[in-house]
Amino acid sequence: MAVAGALKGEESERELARTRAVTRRCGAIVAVRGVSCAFRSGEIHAVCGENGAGKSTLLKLVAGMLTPDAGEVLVGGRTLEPHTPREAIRRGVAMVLQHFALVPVFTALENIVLGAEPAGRLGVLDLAAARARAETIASDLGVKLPLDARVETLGIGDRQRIEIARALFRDARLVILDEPTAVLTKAEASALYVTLRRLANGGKGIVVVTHKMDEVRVHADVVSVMRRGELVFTRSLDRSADIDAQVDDVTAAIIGSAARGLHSSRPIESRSAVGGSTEMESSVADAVLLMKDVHLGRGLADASLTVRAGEIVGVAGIEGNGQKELVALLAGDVAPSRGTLVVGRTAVIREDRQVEGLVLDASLRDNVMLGELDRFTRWGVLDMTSLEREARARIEHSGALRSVTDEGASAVAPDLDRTARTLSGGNQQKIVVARTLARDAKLVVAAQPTRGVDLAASVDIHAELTGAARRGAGVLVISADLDELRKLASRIIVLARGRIVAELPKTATDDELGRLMLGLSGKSEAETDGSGGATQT
Amino acid sequence: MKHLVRVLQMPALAGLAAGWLAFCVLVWAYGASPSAMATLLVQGTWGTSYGAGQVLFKATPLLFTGVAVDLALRAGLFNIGAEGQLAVASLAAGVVGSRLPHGTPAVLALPATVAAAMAAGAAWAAVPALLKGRFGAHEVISTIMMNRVADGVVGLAIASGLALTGTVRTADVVPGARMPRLEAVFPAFRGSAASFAIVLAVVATALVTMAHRRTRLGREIGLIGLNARAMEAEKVPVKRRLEQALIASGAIAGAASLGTVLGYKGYFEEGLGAGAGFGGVAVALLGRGHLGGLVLAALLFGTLQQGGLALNAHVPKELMDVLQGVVICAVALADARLRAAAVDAVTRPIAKPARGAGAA
Repeated sequence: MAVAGALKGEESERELARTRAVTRRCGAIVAVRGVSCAFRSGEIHAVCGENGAGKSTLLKLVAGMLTPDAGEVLVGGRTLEPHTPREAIRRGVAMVLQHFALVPVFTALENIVLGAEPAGRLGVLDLAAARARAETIASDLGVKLPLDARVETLGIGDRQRIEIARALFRDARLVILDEPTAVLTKAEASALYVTLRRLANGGKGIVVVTHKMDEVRVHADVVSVMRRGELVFTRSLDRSADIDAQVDDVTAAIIGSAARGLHSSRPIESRSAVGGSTEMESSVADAVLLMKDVHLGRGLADASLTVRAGEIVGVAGIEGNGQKELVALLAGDVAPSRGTLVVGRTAVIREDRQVEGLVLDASLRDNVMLGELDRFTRWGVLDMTSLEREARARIEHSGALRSVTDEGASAVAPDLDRTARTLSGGNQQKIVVARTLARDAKLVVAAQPTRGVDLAASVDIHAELTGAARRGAGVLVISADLDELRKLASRIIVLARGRIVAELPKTATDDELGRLMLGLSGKSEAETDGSGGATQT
Repeated sequence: MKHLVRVLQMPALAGLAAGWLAFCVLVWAYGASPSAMATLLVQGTWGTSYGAGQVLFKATPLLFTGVAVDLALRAGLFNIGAEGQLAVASLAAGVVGSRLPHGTPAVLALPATVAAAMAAGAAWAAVPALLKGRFGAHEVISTIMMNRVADGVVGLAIASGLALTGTVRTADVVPGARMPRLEAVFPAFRGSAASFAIVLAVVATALVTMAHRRTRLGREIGLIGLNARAMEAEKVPVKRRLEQALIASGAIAGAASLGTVLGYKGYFEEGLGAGAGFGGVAVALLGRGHLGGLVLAALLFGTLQQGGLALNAHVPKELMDVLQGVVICAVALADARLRAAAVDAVTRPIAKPARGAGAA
């Protein structure tokens, strides 16, 4: 046992925090059930799992933001007591939330020091000391922080780095990030991981919640998988062995079955019925969207695009390069300021489902029928019976209530009265998708259809979109996730600075697409992991 | 029924408890005995059929304005202007009701008078409604302003010939435009001013709650109140719906004159029905979009008003106004959602039509 003891000693030296059989209930649901997990310095620890699997809850427990109902959290070998964020930060555990908690009108520097201001005598703020410290941190991070810029003027990547700097300013040794790449482009994400790697090499512990298997594959040292509140497994990844097989195991553990095998980094043959050749031959006659030299204010210029019936076209691009304008145009929110736009009946899956896609505090029944009440109205009065029938059919088809209920409950009739807020992100999105596709539109526009959605729901949503194309709709998918585009679309157009700069086949590589998205030429040159990050700041 | 129980549970209980506590403390501070005053309060209201009738009488306009405010609230609009809408509507009821030919039968006179009142209330609400829909003007501010304007306009109208000379009242409305008193059918209510307007108020409340669930307009208005952005994305005409909600709210507030002008005085005089508009805000906040809740809230505040008169010999009746405020504050504190709505109404940017929940 001597060897084990020695190992244990070394382990505990590296260990920054650990949970011991923690359980946390959220209402009737056990969000985290008896989880024991350790987080060590010097490594990037990925925590994976579907929406609602308990990842965020677990990490909020570690960061002191939630108190456990049973079990305990140890930080630096001692129980976290009192169990508060303040104490967790004092002991070096900081969490960067999915939705940043920065003050928009403050500068980056002010945000970094907020709440931990170095004060001189009489409580006078020592800004010089703060700045020196923040600059040291920035150089540790290997980034340049715009310390004097107001946060509201900064992009998401900068805001995230400010959040991380904020944590480090408080001497955090374990930095927890909740889905840090959900809102980042590929280039920003790889820049982030470069930063995180630096921190890990410098002895910090990094915990990252992520849905993205390619990130796990490339960047994680350790991966833990949560399912239904339980820790399914934790393992170290060995990149000298078959990494694909290891990542497949992770994917299988997340979904809970090995059957669905959809490893994102492997080429997947198109599941859409529209094969290359037949679609190429089809003429403009079956176009459901014809755009010719369309301009929209300053957001979109000279855009020409044709989408045919039965075809899925992908739109790649860094956020803010005309996607919003394109969606607004196709949804009919605005008219083009110039150019020709011919479009069939269009249904749109909006980018921000919680703000534009759903009425969160209304019932599922209302949400799945949103904006269609006129079809069920006679003399101003609703035909409740057929409305109910249609809503029920759509919700059952969507599968939104299938996966959230435990085995026992799935036999029960779906509860259409529960509010959309009570569903996980993936299931909320299924409601939006069900509603949009039920309209039998000629053109379906899907903006970020699986952003923040778990794997299983993504699979379902992709199948729905493919099915819509098979039934004859033209589908335009706008996504920051290049794998998603390649998986769904037969061709991919690239938006940069409001212009359609290229059209590529689905075989286009990340590098090609990435360069085009950044407004560079599409030719592949020497690629390094950091190059994208350097360019985008 | 289950829903009703759930809705009324905590916040209403908290309100009643706080109200009772405040009552005891205030009465005691005036040197009277809380238990004696409470007994007096009950006797003066529900203790006799006359008292009960008076409670119904006081509750009638409150229920109308309550459901008016409630309707706007469903759309996410705070109609603080029921007061002015009712004032203008009451004037219209008095003027139109008194100018009808004397022998006009009730089947014509009453609907015509009520229609005039509701149209006036709607017209008064249409100003903030259109300002809201067209220019995004904050309805809290414009409806409050319209209350002041209503004061002036009613006073001016009274002074410039719409009133009987030398008075601040209109001529009597024709007999056909009078709302029958309850005592005409139920002799037990003899002497009380309660009229069948209370029945119409309950019917109006039922119609509004039903419309919320079963009509396209009501449903869409309710969903807009919860998330206007999503409804806009679905191409529901949000601005028009907001206008319609506020105008309908004004019309219902105007119908409160059924209980005052047509059911009680038989003419309009300056100040008649004053306070009912603001009372309606309280009823709506306590009743929380529920038929039973709204009716009970109107009865509660009607009881307090009438009870205040019963206690006036011992403690000032204004004590009941204080009580009313305490109840509302307690309810608001106990109800997080209400609190959020109030905070939102106050902090929302003033010149923007839709509030932007912009992502970071």
